[in-house]
Parts: sequence; C-alpha cells; structure tokens
Amino acid sequence: MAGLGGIATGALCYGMVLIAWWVGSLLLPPIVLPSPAAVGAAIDELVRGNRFLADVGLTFMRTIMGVATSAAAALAVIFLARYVGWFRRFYLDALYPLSRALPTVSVGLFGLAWFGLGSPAVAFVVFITVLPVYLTNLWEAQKVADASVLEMGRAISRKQYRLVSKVLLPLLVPPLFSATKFAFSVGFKLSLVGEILAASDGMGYSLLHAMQEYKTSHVLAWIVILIGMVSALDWAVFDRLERVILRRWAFDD
Amino acid sequence: MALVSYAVIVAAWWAASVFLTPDVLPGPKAVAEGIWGIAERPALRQQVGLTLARTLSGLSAGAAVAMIFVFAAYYFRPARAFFLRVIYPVSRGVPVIAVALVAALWFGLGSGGVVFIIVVAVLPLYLVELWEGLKLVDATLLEMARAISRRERLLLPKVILPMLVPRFYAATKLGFSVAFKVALIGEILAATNGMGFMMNLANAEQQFYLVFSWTLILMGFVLIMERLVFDTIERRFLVRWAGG
Repeated sequence: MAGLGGIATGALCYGMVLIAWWVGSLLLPPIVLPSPAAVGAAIDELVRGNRFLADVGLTFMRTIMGVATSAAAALAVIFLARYVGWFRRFYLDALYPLSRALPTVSVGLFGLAWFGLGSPAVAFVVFITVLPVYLTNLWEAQKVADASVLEMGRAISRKQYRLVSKVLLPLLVPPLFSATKFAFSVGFKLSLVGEILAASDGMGYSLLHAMQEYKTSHVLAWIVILIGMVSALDWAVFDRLERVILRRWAFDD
Repeated sequence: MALVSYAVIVAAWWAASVFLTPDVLPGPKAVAEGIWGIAERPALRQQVGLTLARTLSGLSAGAAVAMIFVFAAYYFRPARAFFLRVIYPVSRGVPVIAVALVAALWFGLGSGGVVFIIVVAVLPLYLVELWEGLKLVDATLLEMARAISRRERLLLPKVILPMLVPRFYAATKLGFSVAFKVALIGEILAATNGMGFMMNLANAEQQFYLVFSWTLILMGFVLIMERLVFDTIERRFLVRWAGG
C-alpha cells in the first residue's frame, strides 16, 4: 500500500470525504453543516489567534501532568499489591473495579469542588480516569513477568531490592510505554472534558465557547485540529520514542 | 472478603468526612439518603432508566454500524481502502467531547444527540476488535471449511461469524462501561434529562451529596452489569471458545 499508489489512494479517499461534505453543506444550513471552506477559514482564524498557542500549551501541560502522576501512582499501587498480601485483596476486590467504574463527569465535578476552576482540577480528571489504563497494563505485565528471568536474577543476587530494580522494573518498561501511549491519547481527550467542566481556558473551554456562540464552523475546526494533533503525536513522538527507547527490548527474530 | 474491602473504604470515607465540610466531602449517610431519595421518587428513577436506554441503544447502534463497515471492508476492495485510510484512523482520533457539542447542534437537545455521541465513542472499540479479529480468522479453518463444502455463502455464518464472537463480546463488555460514562457527558451537553443532566443540576444547585449519590448509582450499575451479566455470559456461553 505504500509508495505513490498508496498516497494516491489516501488522497482519493480524503478527496471523496471532502466532496461528500461539500455536497452536504450545500443542502444543509451553515449552522448544521458549514462548508469545508468555512471550516478551513475557521482553522486559519483559530491557528492565527493570539490564544491558540496558550490554549494548546495549557491542555498539553494538564494532560502531561495528569498522565505522569497517574503512571507514578499506578506503579506504586501495583508494587504494593504485588508484595503486600492484604493490599492485593483490597486492590483486586475494590480499588481496581471502582477505578474502572468511576464516570469522567463525576470526576470532573469532584475536581471542580476540590480544586476550583483551573489546571489542578483538569489534571485531576486526567489522573483519575487514565489510572485504570495503567493499572490493567502493569498488573497483567507483572503477573506474567518472566519467571525464569526472575529465578535467574535470584540465583545471581539474593537482594530483593536489586531484583526489583534490575529485573522486574526493566521488564515493566514496555507495558508502561504502551500504556502511556494509549493513556496520552485518552488523557488528551479527557483534558477537554475536564476543561469544559472545571476550567476557564484551554482547548476544551475554547471549544465550549465556540459552541455557546453557535459557531459550528469553529467547533468543526477544533475537531479537525484535535484529530490532527493526536495523529501527529502518535506518529512524530510515540512511534519515534518507541524505536529509540524500546530497541533494547526488541526480540531478535 | 470483598465486603471487608468495601467496608474499609466506607470507614475511611466516613472518617474523612468528619474532618471536612459537606461541600467538600459529604458523609456516607447523607449520600445514602440521597440515593434513597432518588429510589423513592418515580420521576428520578425514570432518569436512571432513560440513561440506561440511551446507553443500550447507542451500544447496539455502534455495534451494528461497525459490523457494516468491517464486513464491507472485508469483502469489497474499494471499501477496504476507504475503511483503512479514513474510517479506521479518524474514528479513533475523534474527541468525543467535541462530537457532543456538534450533536447538540445537529440533533437538538434529547436522546438523538446522546445516542449519536455513544455511537461515535464505542465505534472504534468495535472496529478495532472486529477488524483485528477478521484479519486473524484462521486460514487453515477456512481452507478446511472449503474442502467440506463448496458453498461460499456458508463460510460466513458457519466459520467467520462464530470466530468473531469472542471479539464481539470483548468489545461489548468494554463498550458498555464506556457507553454509560459517555452517556453522562452527552446528557450534560446535549440533553435536558437523564443521570448526567441530574448530576450537573445537583452540582449547580450546590447539592454536592447528590452528585455523589448519582455517581454511586451509576457505578453500582456498571459493577453489577460486569459481575452478574457479563461474567455469567462468559462462564455459561463462551466456554465453547475457551482455548485448550
């Protein structure tokens, strides 16, 4: 599929979407479906606007804060659950299922009540809602942490802390990475929910603002910008990091 | 054992609520009374039913749309290119919250918008599971089936669909909790009733304990569905697919 033929197919597919969109926009009023040109103009207006970089920066910062604290908390919880018997029961019976069932909207409202409007509340929404992503990935990974490697580690050194730092933690790096990749794209979208409920700036708030003014073209422009950002991030940051960082863990086929 | 864990959480919650004001952390008693108040009033009970109905409609509509896309891509080459280049990547990148805002404009305030948002949210789950499942449909099994019967049309109901059942089930199990949570977002932005709307209303009226009550009702539903419904289905009906 790669190469010129692939690019042509891709262009053709997106061309068809644009044409269908354009035809649809002729038949419907602009408040329901603005034309691609109007959305293009809105993208241009948004990107050139003086709030754009600040909004993007804020949302990214909040996402990173939430994802990073979530990763740290999940690691701590997983290690406690692995090594402390009663905590493992507590984790499996209550903590894990509850963390998965908690709805984002409630977390947003809790964040608003506890932190007030602003970045901590939004980061809190991301922190709580991506926690199950990390918990699931890390818990499953430590369960299947290669027993023979651990045994070899034990044969070389009896010090438990070295077994953790030299064997177990490195074994958890690939699942931590894949969880982060997923958590970031989820967290990014959740930041927007958090910003709508508990902030007065950032991309989510701008999105809500556009909607409140019935500027459908701006809402669609934000959607296009966000899809672009998530895909660019996947491609430009995570795929490259994966190649560089995870090379040590790659299998020799 | 699980009861002990939950008792520990309630005890810790109660202890913390003694030190904090009710607008920061309402105590378990106030929240339980809130739940009782909701259970008592038919008009409030209806909100739970409404959200559940929207969740189930959105989930089934999402599953149906995903099946159509995936099978079109499996059997028709032009559709496959379109699927792989546009529908598959874009559906995964679409921010649900932005769709919720557009849905309010497209469908007006009400169930239509909420169901639409749920469809958009669960679509990628089904697309990924079903497409990856179709790619892995055992080639040797297909070959064997072809050796037994030449009727190509039997392949779909007798071999391909049964092989997709576990995948479909996994997507539905995950999709249900996602759909339920997304329904709340939809109801805040694109509806004037349902649990999400009631939760937001309680917050606006500074009845913070009711936000907790609605949250616990919803979490109870998700946990009961997972434990009772999905786990039972898994034990009773999915045994046929269990690996050796």
